[in-house]
Amino acid sequence: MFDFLIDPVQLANVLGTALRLSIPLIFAAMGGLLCERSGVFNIALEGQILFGAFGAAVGAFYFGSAYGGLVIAIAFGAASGLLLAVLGITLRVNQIVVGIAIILFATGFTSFMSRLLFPGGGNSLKLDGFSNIDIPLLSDIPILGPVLFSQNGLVYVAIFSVFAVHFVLFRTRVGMSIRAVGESPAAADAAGIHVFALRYACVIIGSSLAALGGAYLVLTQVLLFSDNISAGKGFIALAAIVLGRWQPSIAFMACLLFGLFDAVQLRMQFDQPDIPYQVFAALPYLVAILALVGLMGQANPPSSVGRPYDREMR
Amino acid sequence: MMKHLKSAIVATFTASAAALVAFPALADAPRVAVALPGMVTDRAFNENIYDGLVAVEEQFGSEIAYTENVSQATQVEVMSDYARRGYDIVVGSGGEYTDAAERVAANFPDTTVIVLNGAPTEGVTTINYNNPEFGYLLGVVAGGVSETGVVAALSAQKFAAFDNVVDGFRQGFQSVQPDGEVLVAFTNDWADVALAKEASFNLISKKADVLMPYLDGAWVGVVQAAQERGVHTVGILHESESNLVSARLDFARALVMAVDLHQKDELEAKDYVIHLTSRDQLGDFSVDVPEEVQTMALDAVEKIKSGELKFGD
Repeated sequence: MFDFLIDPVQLANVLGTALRLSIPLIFAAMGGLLCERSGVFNIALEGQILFGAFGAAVGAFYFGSAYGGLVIAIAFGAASGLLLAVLGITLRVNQIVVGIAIILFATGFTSFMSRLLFPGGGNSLKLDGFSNIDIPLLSDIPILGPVLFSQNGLVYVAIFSVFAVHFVLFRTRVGMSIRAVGESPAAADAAGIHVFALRYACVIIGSSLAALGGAYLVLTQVLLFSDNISAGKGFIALAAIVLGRWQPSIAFMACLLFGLFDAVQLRMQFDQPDIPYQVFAALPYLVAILALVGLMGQANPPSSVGRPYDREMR
Repeated sequence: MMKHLKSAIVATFTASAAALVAFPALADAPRVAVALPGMVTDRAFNENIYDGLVAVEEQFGSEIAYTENVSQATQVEVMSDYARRGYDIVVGSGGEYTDAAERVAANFPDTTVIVLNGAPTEGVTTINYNNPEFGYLLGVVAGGVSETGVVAALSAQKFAAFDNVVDGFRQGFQSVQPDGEVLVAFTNDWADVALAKEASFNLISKKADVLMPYLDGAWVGVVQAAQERGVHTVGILHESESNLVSARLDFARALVMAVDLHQKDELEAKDYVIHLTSRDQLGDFSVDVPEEVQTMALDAVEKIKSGELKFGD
């Protein structure tokens, strides 16, 4: 059953699959985490991945380069973040409702526009994507070499984003302000921190990060756009944030865990034809539930998350 | 909310199409509406049925309508709505529509309710392909081309129609390579291209060198994986240049056939089964299929036609 663990080639294959499946989750989880740390629920991650994927396809198609795709993807992500910020922070609409609205809008908008913009529909595209970068020496290490050091540029960006988010949140003055705004905006405001500006910045940057997850799908994994290409990854990223207890490093590991179990379930299905495949398909979620209830203890979200700040409110 | 948006878009489209194109509306052309489980741009099952709908419009001058992404929970409502609005033929696309179709047929006796690819259901016209025959043919071609002796079938979910295809596929494959192995994998998502691609990489690493995707939009991922690793695909729901050959379950053809029968007043509420009996149900063979394998495949079609090869009913 676990024979792929012994065979180095098979193991490298499974780990490679796991990493590739977890990259969009990592981008989205880091983006969402940044928003929630600043006190704004961003459940629109699913829609922002979709926007990112669509923007990447548009950019790569019209500019003929993967970098063009990346720029447009980020622009789409930032725009959806701005929308969330205006409605959820300034106009104080319920952030959950805004998030759902953005997801629904993204689904309709991207399917509709992809039919208008791409001849023959988005799934007949063959876009220019990023190719793999082999890091010299390191990529020759058995098993881990090809998995970690012979990947796409965006994979390294995803891993870098984990370090960046962690560093900013816990090692800089701005990060401390972000956390303060997420815990107690009134106190932060009294201390002279710009609550609104900081939340706007976090939501826009976080949303752009989530959009990079979509760009990764389009520019490296499949090189085309298909309707609803995000396929629920944004929701899994939300689970990873909770599972990671709003800590970038743990959320990162949660994403890897989901990716790994997805890869393992694909592998185990046909090694074990007697067990219904649904058991394996449910495996990642089962692991999430077990981890949430048992292993991690009480999850403590930032205490002001989801509560729009109003200066006049007592 | 999305549903409303979608129906609004569809309604606008239908309305503007009606305004722009003066229909050559024959007085007795049936009005045909289709409920689809996915998007009409998937270049597979849903688009195939949509193409059939357009063909019906052109051929019979019918007024047509469709709703995409109809979830299980809204099937009855969407189909009843079309029946209420006076559509003569209401179609559910796929086996998951049989329950809804049975209820709609009972509530609207004047409406002809059709399910494509669905099990025989009381009061409903079901149109099916003989799945094992099409699987068998693809299996023969896969057997003639596979060098590793391992091939694979890939779907989102396990269900009867797919199992039948795989049974035929296995028989066809093993008629050429008796010791050959057929792997089966499920991704749990009809449209997730990335996951289908990863699943295909997995199958390829298990030495499979011919892949048969039974998926909606996600089939593109299978074809990409195959091209990147230099292996082959065969088509059952999709057509693509990279296929060794396609033996397509052509539901466009099935829909046109149904409307034609309806026009002649011959369409009954029973199960119609379409067999693989003619060359033109196959796509073109790719250059990777040797001459003798092509002959073998065409022989199989002849044997099915003559009744020498029989699968189920």
